[in-house]
Amino acid sequence: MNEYDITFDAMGSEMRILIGEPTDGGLAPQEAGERAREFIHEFDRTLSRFQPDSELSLLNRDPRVEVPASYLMRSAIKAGLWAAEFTGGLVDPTLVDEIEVAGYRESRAGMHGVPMSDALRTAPARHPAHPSGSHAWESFKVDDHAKVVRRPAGLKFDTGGTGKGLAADMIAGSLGGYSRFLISCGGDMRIGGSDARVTPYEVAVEHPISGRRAHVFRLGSGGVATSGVNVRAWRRTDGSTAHHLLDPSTGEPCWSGIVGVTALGPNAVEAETLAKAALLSGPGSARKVLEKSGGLIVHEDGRVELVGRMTISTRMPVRPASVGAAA
Amino acid sequence: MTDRPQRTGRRKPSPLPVFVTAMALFLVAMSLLAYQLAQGKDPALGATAITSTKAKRPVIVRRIVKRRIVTTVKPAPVVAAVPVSSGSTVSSSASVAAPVAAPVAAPAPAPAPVVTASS
Repeated sequence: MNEYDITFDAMGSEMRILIGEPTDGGLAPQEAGERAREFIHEFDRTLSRFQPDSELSLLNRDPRVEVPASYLMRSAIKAGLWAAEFTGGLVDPTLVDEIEVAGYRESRAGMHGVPMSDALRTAPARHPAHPSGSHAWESFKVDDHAKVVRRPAGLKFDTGGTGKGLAADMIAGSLGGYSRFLISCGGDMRIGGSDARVTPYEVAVEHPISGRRAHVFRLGSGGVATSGVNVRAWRRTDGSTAHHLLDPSTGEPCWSGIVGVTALGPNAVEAETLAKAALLSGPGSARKVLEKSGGLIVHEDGRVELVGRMTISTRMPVRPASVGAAA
Repeated sequence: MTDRPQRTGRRKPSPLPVFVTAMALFLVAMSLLAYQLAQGKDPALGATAITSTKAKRPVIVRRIVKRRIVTTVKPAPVVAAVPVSSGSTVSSSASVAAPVAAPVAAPAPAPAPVVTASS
């Protein structure tokens, strides 16, 4: 099966786009793929927290309560608010100050992380995360008619929690006329196309500790996303290890006893949200979070726990990754 | 009293030869029919069989061909490794030796597996 296959870096992660043949006489797969790549770069330029002139950075610095916002900006905020509401505030998009205090002020693309064994050894006592008492995210309002965003001045927003999944979903919306496609934004994927149900993609899950293959999903549609503490982890000046998944109730990195979760869902945003929520919920509740759509949990001891009805395949080799390397 | 007209020159055939001849013709006809039936050529069914053969729809046999391309990678005689552009989505770094000589025509590399990992 001929597919256009392109890999490139964006959003501090590796992107991959696979597009099959057009079924309705649309653009050639190469052209559709190039447009998707341009969209991802535009998405990154608009919504990056690390670029001072991005629309998101400008919004977060804007002293006004009501701020004009582009379609992309409004879509990203709506996705973040949906994730917060879907998880009861566990996936909180307003923890910008907290993540910067924790040490994540600039992109970690290309930077080395902390070996998982060291991170787990120096991590504080394990406990599941909880929503913040303030529910500040509820203050954000998106007005599509007026094309503005309203929030209390000074309240910041981080689209990082759902951004990659949203990018994958938005691209997927333009690829309905292709035999099959897979959009991977840093491992958060959206799969579709009429032929994908007949010839599903095999998606390997990287084990966050060993770097080897933990499982292979055969997916014909929908989304899949992975969240873990093995990348985007760093050493703080006090010697402790921090990572980017925060407990909204404390504003500190969450050490729940789970080091990685891969979630399936009807789309990439939901899968990404479920993966984060399951990891933050800890071993006692993660299974329940993943119960509906299925997924995979990797515990601190390396144990892999499958949730839902899965098809196990052992045919595809995966190159070991350097543990702890940040994307 | 009336006089019967007298027959002239004709004589009534004897019943025995008539009976024997009739039986012989009957047996010959029966034998012929029995032979035809034994050969499967029932004269009563012959016309129908031809008609049904003509009306029969042609049977289309669909043949499903699965093509399996087996690629054997022979070790290249050139010393240097040729970097492959289509990399895996698993992050990894590897030092590549400086390329020497012209790249050898090699079979297209298999597409890298799709991998989901924390990012």
